[in-house]
Amino acid sequence: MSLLAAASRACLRATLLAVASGMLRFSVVLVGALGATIAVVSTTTAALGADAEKALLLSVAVSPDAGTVLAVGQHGTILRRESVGGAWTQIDSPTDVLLTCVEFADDQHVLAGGHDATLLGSTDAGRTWSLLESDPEAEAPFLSLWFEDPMHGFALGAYGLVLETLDGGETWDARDLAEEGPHLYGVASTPDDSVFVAGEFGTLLRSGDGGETWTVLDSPYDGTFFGALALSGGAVIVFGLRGNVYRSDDAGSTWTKIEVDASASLLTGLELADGTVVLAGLAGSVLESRDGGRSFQPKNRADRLALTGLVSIGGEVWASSEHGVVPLSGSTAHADVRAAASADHADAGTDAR
Amino acid sequence: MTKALEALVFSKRIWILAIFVLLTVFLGYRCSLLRIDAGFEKLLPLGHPYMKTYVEHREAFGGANRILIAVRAKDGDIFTPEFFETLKEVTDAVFFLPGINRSTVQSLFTPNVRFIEIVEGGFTGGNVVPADFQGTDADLETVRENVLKAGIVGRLVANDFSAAMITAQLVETDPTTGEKLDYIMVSKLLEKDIREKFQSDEIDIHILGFAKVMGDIAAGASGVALFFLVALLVTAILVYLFTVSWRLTLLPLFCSIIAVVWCLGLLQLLGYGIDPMSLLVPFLVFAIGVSHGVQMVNAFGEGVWNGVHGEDAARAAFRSLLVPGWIALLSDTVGFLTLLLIKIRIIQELAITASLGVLVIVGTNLILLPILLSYIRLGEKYNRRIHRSAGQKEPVWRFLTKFTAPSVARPTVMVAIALGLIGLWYGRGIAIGDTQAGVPELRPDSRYNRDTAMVTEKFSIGLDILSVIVETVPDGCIEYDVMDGIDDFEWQMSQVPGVQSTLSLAKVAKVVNAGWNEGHPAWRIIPRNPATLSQAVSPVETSSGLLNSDCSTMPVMLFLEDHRAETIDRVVAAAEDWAVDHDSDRHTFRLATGNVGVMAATNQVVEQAQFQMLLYVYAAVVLLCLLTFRSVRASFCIILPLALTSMLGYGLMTWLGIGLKTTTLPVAALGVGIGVDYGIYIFSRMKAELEAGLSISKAYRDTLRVAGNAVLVTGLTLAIGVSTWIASDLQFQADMGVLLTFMFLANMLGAILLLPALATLLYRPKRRAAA
Repeated sequence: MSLLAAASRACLRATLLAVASGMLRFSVVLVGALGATIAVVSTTTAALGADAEKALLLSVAVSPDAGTVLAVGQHGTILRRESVGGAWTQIDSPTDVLLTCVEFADDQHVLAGGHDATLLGSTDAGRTWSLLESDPEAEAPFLSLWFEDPMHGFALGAYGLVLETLDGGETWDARDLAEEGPHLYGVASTPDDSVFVAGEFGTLLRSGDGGETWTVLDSPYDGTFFGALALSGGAVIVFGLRGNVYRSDDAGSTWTKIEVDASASLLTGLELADGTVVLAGLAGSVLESRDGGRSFQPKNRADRLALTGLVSIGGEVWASSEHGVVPLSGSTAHADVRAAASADHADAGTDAR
Repeated sequence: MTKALEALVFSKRIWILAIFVLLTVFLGYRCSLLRIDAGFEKLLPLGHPYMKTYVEHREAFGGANRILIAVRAKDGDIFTPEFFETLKEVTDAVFFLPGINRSTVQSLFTPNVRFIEIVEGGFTGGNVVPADFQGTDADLETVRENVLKAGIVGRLVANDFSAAMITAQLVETDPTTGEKLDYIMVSKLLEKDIREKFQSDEIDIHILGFAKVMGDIAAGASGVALFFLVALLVTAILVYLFTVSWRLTLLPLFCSIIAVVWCLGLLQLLGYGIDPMSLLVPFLVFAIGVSHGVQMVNAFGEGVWNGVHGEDAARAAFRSLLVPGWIALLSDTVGFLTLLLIKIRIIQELAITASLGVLVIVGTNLILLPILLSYIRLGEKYNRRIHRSAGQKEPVWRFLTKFTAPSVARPTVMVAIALGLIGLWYGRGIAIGDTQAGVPELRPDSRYNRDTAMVTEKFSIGLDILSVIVETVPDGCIEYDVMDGIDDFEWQMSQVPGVQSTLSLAKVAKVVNAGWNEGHPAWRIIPRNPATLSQAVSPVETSSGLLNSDCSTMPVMLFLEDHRAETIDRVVAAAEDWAVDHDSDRHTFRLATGNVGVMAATNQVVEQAQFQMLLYVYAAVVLLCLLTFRSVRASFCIILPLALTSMLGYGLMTWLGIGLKTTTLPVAALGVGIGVDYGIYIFSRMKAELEAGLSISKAYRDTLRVAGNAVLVTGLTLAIGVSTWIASDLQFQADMGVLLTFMFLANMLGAILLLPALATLLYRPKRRAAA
């Protein structure tokens, strides 16, 4: 009964929010204000669906002040957590598409993107959301987000889909960065404010002027890069299909392949405060580097969960996965049989081919 | 009428005996041909809409009738040449089991188990165990890798790699011969050709599935012979204590056994087998037979007491019991026949066989027994013994007669009403269906339930599956709105507590779509583009059981945490709600197949039938009482104790955590049907005494000496006989044993304590008015 009631209320609220945001699209700030009033309702009834915590999640992000953690995924699911070790709450979502990325512009302003070229915005640290963009006809998802500052940002997606905003998400303009229209999966900015984008067909792009102009880099690989990671030392690491990892120490002019003991695709990466670099991806593959990303050791998960995003919260690394948000080290202890299997016999699949 | 019948029966007694002998020989022969017969379909409530869905779609998607065989390495993992050798042999052995639908056999060695792998520029795939598998270390490593790629960990391979699974569907009717599958034989073969053959110090075999359950139930049911012997012995002793004569003890037992033989013989003649579930019928027939036999012997003994002997005493007994005996047996029969209301074949079979058995008792115990008694000459010695024994029992009757004193009667009735209310209060919470995990028919610690626990621990497959069938337009699986609707349904259902996971073509298509996009989970969606969608769907073959040949029907499988009634209710309600809100001309969501679909339907049928059944059984009993005694008060005196027992029975079931289901529902009807005997015997006797002008106390004292005495004995006899079941290997027999024991005892107490108390209160005012 209570579940039903909660569901119908959630439904009503979602409709309200959608209608409201549709009418008030002209001002994100105003939407935020309205959102805040709805948020009161929201917090009282934000019961977590039984399976939402186990849903397919594709991205997780933590606010710059480390006060808020957000994860997004299946059926428009938005999960929010306020403190380390606190409970996840499911936030009313104005969409039911698969959300693929979430990014904080600052502590309050958050953007999320997903399928049907959907973009959502929040101005209250993810408590309430409004629909900013949606274009089912495009038949393309957004896959990654990058902000130079709270006003200026990029949303990158499939088939070369790129939108840019200069007003904090209020209006968006199409940009054309890559000729062949590759899926653009990963984006990273270096400490010296270069921006790297990685994607399909080995696509690697670089901008040195905050996204004004882009250079297509010579790629060492023609497979797909799923992510890019800029390290504090200035190096850039790109990674993707079937455990391919490349590193550049010269702002993308040259790339070196890093041989790693992994056959599964790598989807996400993170540099920790102590300089440890972690890469993670399909089939529970986890790689760890203690030498600033020059070599990696496998630390695969026994449960073989596909890991899609990484954040560090209070010194602990968490991953969004196909089964909710999980602590990264959660199951490495038992990574015996399966880790060995996927690591030692990386090319076993070729026998069957 | 009675007199004419009496004259006929006793004047032609030699001829009648001859007929009985011939019939017994014939039916005894038929009885020896009787086979244990178990079927899956007769457990299904085929009239229920869910089962219509099941019947329509079982061809395409198989039904609820799977077997699962887990081959487990006791130490280490499965990646040894020996293990794979065994697994291959077991897989081959499964192919050759009778009734196996061979295209549904799945194991690491079957070609329908494949892996898909994403490489630069597309897919690659192959059989998990390659065709050239030799068992070398390199081969094993290949398989290990393929297993991971195929995503069958948790399904065909244990999560900790310690076991591998073989699954297959059974077909109930052989398509070529049209013969019915013998589940018990399948179960025996599973035991002999698989478990015994391949189980070793290194390897353990766990077998699950309906066929195994039936086999184990049949095996457990074989203990019934022992219970029957124990019951027979206890009954003999009790009856002897009552009759103080071996001849008078053996005759009713003998006649009751004849009744059982006839009943089983008739069953065979009608083409039924004896089902493990309906093994209770012979017990009941025997018990009811003894109950009536004891009344007859008692009436005969009364004649002897009064100095009448042989044929005259037998005739008197025949005369006095023919009508109440008939009425009592008729009400038993009606009670059993109300079970026909429950549209589940196994219960209906039980109703028919039990009714038959009871009708047979009319012949054996109301006709044969008095004829046999008429040949008995009891000497003076017997008369002395019976007097002595009667004297010893006198204090008991004195005590019981107190219940006819208004000062005792009033509190008695009040206590009864209080008890009834307590029973009602407790019983309103009665669970429909199963209240525990595992197979409820078997003991929690049985091999089967331990196997279940092992398999659910090692694998992540649910054994409790509710399949919702989505019927849509032809090629519906490449229509975005249809697939998106299925996806939404699945997502909604996965949020319902009790749903562990889900599986459907939509879910697989999402993963395949991600596969076409190099495996990135960001592409686990139903693509809007029709070409892309058909690309995502086409790799899934119909043998997966996720779609039919023209893709117009797709099941959504919901794996539940357990099959407790409340879990089922919750999930089914959520799915029904969804169907109501979302059915359109594009797609309909139809419940339900899978074992939980069957359980849900059964629970609903049982729930719906229970009140109807009780209503009919009580209506029938009331009507019979009214017809017999032509008095509302009399009927009231007989029915109220029965109603009290029914209420307390419900309370007891709730208290013991026994759910109302196929096996326990009949008990309610049986309890009423049999319980009414006592009331009728006691009341008809008492009525006669009252009409002779005796006071109620005196009338009751006299009644007790004859009918009451017999009721006490039969109540105890039946209760003790049925209570042997509590020791059964089968949980449902143990449950039935507890409930029937309680019902017999409670009915007996109701008849000898509450009935006179009620009569006292109800009949007193009339006497005053008359005075």
